[in-house]
Amino acid sequence: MSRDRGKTRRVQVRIDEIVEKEIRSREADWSFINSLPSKLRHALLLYIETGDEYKASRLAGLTLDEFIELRIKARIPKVVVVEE
Amino acid sequence: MICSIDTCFLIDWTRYSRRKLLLKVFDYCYIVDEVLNEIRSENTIVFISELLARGFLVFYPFRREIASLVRELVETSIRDPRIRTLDPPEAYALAIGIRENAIVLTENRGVLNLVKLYPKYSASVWRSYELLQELFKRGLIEDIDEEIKRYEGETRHKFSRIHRR
Repeated sequence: MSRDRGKTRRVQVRIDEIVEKEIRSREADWSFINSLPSKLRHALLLYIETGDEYKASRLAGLTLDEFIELRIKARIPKVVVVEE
Repeated sequence: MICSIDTCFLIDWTRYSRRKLLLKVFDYCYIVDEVLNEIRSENTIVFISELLARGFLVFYPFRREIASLVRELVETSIRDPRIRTLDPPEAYALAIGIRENAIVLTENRGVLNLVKLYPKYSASVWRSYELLQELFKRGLIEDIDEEIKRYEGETRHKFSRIHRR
């Protein structure tokens, strides 16, 4: 019973991650992203892939609030999955 | 009610025009001082300085006491491939939440997964969505759908609804 519940949670976690990534990628302004210098471009790609702002900001060499500003300029949403 | 707050959450919340409602829900809020290293923008500095002046934001004074818990949380996240590795800001926010029975304000996927998959690290984790719902429950906002739209627009968030059986 509890093993089933654990499995269900693992599946839910994975589904949420896939949904989040798909929305980030779909809504991103790719022409803006592709116009950026390599470091910033790869940081945004890392964010789209993982949703992890902290690591992406380290890669970009930016503070977190600078990175969030960049994310918004690139029109990448922060996706929050909400259960109905 | 008290909370601990992750740096990203605080930066995002600062962009929300009704950000001061945070003070109506919580008595005070723990942060760790690394938060300040991540802030450059004028608006965020102004808001944080106001919250510090009011005594609402409090630098967590017992860091040494939670160091081993922080280490345990980070190590668990590194070992378990289902969990995105926690970085210091969110690990501290979660450890403070566990230790102080505080609401953890974060949208970090690593924290959300860790709490979901490891019941021993039990903590109440709220994302902005849950915080907006709480504001609505308390009558501090009138129209939840409008407010969610406003928050999404001002912070470039997207609340994606999933139906689970």
